[in-house]
Amino acid sequence: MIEYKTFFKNASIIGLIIVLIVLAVPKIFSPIISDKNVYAASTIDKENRLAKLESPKIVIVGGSGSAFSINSKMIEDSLKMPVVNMAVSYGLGLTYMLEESKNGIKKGDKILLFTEYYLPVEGSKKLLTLINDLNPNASDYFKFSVSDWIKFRVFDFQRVGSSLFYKTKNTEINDPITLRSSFNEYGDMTAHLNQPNKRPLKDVEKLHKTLYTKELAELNNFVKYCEKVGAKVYYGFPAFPATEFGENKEAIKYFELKLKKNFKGKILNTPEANLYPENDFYDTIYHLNTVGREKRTKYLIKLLKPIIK
Amino acid sequence: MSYTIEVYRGNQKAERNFGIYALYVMFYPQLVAGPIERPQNILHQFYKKHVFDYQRVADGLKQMAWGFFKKIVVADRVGIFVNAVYDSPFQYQGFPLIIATILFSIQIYCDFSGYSDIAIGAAKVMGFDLMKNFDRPYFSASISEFWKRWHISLSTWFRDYLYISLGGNRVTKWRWYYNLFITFLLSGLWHGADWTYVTWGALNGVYLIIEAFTLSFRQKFFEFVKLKNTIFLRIISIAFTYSLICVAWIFFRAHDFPSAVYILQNIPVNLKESSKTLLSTNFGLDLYGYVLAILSIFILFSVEFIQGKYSIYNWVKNRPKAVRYGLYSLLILTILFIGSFDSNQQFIYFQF
Repeated sequence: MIEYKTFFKNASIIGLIIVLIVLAVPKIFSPIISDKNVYAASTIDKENRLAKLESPKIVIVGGSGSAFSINSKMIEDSLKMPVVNMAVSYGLGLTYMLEESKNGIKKGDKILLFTEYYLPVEGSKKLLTLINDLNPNASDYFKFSVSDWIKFRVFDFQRVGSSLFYKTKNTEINDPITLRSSFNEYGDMTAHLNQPNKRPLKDVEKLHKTLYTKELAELNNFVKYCEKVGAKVYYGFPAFPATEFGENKEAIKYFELKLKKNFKGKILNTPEANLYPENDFYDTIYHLNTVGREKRTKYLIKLLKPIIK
Repeated sequence: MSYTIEVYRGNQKAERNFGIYALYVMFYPQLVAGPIERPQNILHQFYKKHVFDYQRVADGLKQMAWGFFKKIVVADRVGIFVNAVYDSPFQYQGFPLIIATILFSIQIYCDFSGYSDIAIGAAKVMGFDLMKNFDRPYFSASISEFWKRWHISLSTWFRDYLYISLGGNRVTKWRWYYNLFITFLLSGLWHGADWTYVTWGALNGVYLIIEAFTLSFRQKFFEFVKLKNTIFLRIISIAFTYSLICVAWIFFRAHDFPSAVYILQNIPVNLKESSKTLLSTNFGLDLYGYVLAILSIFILFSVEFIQGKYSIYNWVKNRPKAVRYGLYSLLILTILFIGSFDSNQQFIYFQF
């Protein structure tokens, strides 16, 4: 019994020391780790634009594929309707993307959902930790559990290491495509434009069939909300390299089938209509380069014209 | 299987208590990928009364913490680079393939031995002793030594239930080679019905046959050049053994046989140009990630090297309480500070 008590007393001392250090270190180094120019902080500017724009407007929601691959100004000029590109990263998770957009959606708005084929409902804890630190509204857009809180504290603790490392090395942590300042006023990423393609393409992995139950429920709840406020939701498949399509056709067509059967909004096109040559991609299988972005935007304008009219 | 075989051979009495048998079969630390225990080693432990033992619990937790270090800090970080290259090997030549293969050897060791440490530690906390599964295998000076130090519980399983049943080494020379080869071929097949695993097993079998075949010649030669029992020879032998093991790992890790062959063929190709690719390509790690990977590998092998000469465990045990607690906290804080928590990588051996 005495051994038992001693053990718990000693383990508690060690546990307490660790918890205190994990909590205190990020506080002490907060001026160093806080970087307002990181990619995730672009959500603040996008939210501001969303709130500022008059309705009816076009709201683009999706992962980084939509941030890199759409020219919103071109859409706005062609369709004579203001556009805000809310897309940041699929790593934020569907819940975050949709909840964030809900805030500014009003009657008459057209919501364009362009998710990647991999669409997690819950986001990456690391990314959510970062965004939670930068964007004061962020915690309203995702469910925050006790285990999330613990993970956030650990990631905060880890960020001290990387921030100190880059600070002492006086090196830029990120390349321009991961900076908030590289987004234009519409919310489009522009740092990759006119840059040479990066090879090999990243995110190449075989897609697998999944049930999409949670994902579709999340999407349909969003559609329901939009219908309630008088906005319309359209789903469009992401730009994808034609070279990767064959390998993933089964999983992609299965996803399309699931959407057709269960999605309550309108589906704009087919996966096949969104295939582009590998040369049109910049660095990942979802990020188009200047040429690809131009092609895709023209295609989307053509697709959206009858809807906007 | 070992329970059935041992009972059949009469080495173990059949367990008549269903509750004990169920506990033995479902003992969670060794259920998924833990050391493959013989019933003689563990069944009797379920009959013992397990009371709280401070030292034992503390030792178990320390071993678990070291296992977590290996898995979360080392394996999961280097695994990011390995996956980037091995998931699309045809895009690379030379250095990326070499480094990914070296890192995979470290990843699989840390992943698997890390799991074993966690399993053995968890069992220890509950009052159970499981067998040692790894004994600093990359410090082996021969392939036979490597297999005495790598996945010891599986190697001894194959030795006891297959190799010895085939006659072991108490047969003619050629039959002995055959026994070695068949044992390793089946060990490869045990990992999966795929030509990559079969080749990996066969390759290790061939290594062992060549090692056995050339043993006396090599001994005479090293005696002649006065290198026998020298540190120099030991270092060269360790490096050579490690290189051979890495070649075999290519087959173990590659997605399919053509990928493995491509990697083998393209490792010595375009070395100068590929060193530039190495610097310009994003393999999923940033500069900080590379520094952490190198640092953690250095810590790991330094600890293992020292462990081969002195017992770090005893050294720590004899320090004042404040120093000990400081070191335990430091280990846990290191895991939290530089662990790769976002890569969501499963234990490799969970698939087998």
